[in-house]
Amino acid sequence: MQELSWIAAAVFLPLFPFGMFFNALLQRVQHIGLRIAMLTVWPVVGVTMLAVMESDMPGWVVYWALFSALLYSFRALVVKEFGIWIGFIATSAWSLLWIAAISGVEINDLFIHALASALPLSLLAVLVSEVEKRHESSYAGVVKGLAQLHPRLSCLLVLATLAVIGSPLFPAFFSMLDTIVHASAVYPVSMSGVLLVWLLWSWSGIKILQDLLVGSAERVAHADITNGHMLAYGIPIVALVISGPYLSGVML
Amino acid sequence: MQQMILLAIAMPFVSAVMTQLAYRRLGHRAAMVSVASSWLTLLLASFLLWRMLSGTEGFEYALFSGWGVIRLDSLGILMAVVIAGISLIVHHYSIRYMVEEPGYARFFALLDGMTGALILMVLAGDLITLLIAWHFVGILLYFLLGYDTRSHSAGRYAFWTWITYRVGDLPLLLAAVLLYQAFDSWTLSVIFERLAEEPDTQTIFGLALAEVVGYLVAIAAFARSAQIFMHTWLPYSMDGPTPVSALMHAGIVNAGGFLINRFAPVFVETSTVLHWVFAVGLVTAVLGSVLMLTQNDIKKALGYSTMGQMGFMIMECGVGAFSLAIYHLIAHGLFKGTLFLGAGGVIGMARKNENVPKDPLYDFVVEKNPTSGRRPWLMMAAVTLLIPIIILLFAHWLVGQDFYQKQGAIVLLFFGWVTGAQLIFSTYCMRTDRPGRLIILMIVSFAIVILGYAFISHAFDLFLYPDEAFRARIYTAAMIDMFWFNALVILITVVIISGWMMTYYNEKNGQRNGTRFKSAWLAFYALVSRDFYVTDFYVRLNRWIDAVATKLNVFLRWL
Repeated sequence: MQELSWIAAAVFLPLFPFGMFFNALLQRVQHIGLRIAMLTVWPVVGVTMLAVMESDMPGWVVYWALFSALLYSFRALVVKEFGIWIGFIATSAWSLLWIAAISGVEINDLFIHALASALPLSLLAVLVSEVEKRHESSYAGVVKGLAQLHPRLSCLLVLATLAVIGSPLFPAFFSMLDTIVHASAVYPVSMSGVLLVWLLWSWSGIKILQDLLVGSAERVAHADITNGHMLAYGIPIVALVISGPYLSGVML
Repeated sequence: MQQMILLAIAMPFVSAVMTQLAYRRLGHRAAMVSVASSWLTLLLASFLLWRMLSGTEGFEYALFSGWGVIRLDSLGILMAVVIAGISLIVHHYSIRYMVEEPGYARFFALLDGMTGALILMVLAGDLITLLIAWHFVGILLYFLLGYDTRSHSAGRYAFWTWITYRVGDLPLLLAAVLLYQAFDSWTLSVIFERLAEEPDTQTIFGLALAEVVGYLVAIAAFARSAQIFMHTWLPYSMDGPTPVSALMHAGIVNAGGFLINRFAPVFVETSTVLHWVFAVGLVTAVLGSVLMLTQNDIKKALGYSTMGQMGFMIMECGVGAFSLAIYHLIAHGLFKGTLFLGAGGVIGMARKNENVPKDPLYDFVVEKNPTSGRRPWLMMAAVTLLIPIIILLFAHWLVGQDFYQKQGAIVLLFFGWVTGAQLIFSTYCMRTDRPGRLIILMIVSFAIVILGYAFISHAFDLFLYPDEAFRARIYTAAMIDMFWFNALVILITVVIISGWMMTYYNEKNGQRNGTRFKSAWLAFYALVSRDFYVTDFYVRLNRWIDAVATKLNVFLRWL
């Protein structure tokens, strides 16, 4: 039973190769509501499983988690399909929750860590669906010049991506900082690995954004998002910016 | 005072939002909101600087618990005034320069955001605030450089800047975490106080904390100030708008020098870090200057010149002349900003008029036409070698009689000596019909510059580091073994003297452009023209990484 719990936790806080389940499922789910649900609930379930598990986690899981996080963030470097990129970054970010947990982050704080990555990813998924509505794809390079075509949608995409890759003042920034602070005390070697993961997120995030946004717009087939949509999607971003410093008081 | 500091930091951010919002109603006139805010920021910062100069003690206060500490000290407020001043000039320049570009309001909003982030960075009193501002500068610079979203090349080079900055962010973050681990506080003043009490504090793997943090901070500074192997982004960032180039070269790139100064209390506890800082700065200064000389594009030449100047600035930190580095970065910021803002006009003029007007200056400098007169080469060689060193020694003696006890001051003397000698040699090569008058004018100018430099840098020293004992400790941290230092001084003196004598002798005998080493020079030129293949190496590395990641994805079926 205990082994099953471990495997389930490794699926929901994806450790390689269990992360393939999550990514396969995410690629098959087309309904945006279900995608959001998946992106939000998945890590919360994982953290809940960690909370109910009775035995102590062995230290080597830190290195397994770090390998998983590095692997998926490295693979994200060449991903052009935004949906797949979201899956890879989610897998990478949630693997790091193992490191946070083993390094001594309180379980209640671990939920905040999980949501710090899950909520921006969900928002990004919604915005990517807006791109797909207009271009039938979110494949960067095939869809290009988005900044010229849809400046408002592009602006939101940029902000949401910055939130996902852990830019300040978004919660993911403080979550990463807290993970590194805790890891440095217990597993100092893993600290540089976590930093490398962070660098790879930034690298891949800006790369995919650039392929999507930069370039001359060839045609304007669809209108940009409306002011109402801009407001609707902008409010969660502002909320994330405000919640970042607030949650830093809880986490750090 | 507290409200004024807060206002000086918040004003640019508020303006960024206001400019964007006002654009719909006011059109291009919305830029005035941004300009007005720049004026106000500069006035506030200047007032605070004036208060500091009048004797008001520095202080710090926290906006909320844990972090968000604002620190008002001489270094921070001086830098804030410089940033606000340069930003204001760039704002004014951009009003007309950017008027035909799409995204006019976005440009001013980004410019304001950058100003705010830079001011926050220099006034940050804790590590988290510093990290946030440090990171923000990188993000905003990326969007400013990639301002033209139609241009793939602008986007590509903005990305290079982004990735170099991110590489540089991480060591600073690591340093912050290690300091927090050791002292259980994010606040800089607390950390510096505790480090001074326990300078032998150890960190991970039993390493000396100050040493490790010193190296990490230095690496972060290297990335931000385009030191060798982390410089490739700088010359290529010219694809961004000219005002951005001006702001970047005049302000943003100087952050490395500021960071080293901010962490001065850490560096005084180190033993080897500053030696490496000196070495990296020296190599960057030399290679940056060499690369600059081979450029045929005015903006790229300015870019590489900035690299060389940043090398000098970092080198000054490496010899313990921390406050001189601040003076250098301000002076460099002002002249490089002016050059960049003028470069656009010069390029425009050159495009309209292919033929440069042949006025007397052209004849003098380019065609070296004006006649005959030259002094005997041996006398000129003696003047070249003696006059600069006499002026330098006199100027340094005026501001501090014990300057020869500081190794850093001696090292900088050598640079001043070579610069002065180069100046007089250039005069010798000009062949004016009144060489005596020209040489006297040159020597007087050199003396004024050196005296000004000595007095102003001394004033900076007193303002930024009023504690004499602390100033001495910085120099001590940068010192090397006395025997080796003296040996190096003798060696370099011999090299300089024999080098200049040989140069004059060859010039006199027409051997300056000899062909003995022609093939070696050509090979060297090829190497320099390819930027020592550093960029090629990074491009290859990037392609290799992409290929490996793609193979992995195909193997794992993109799951």
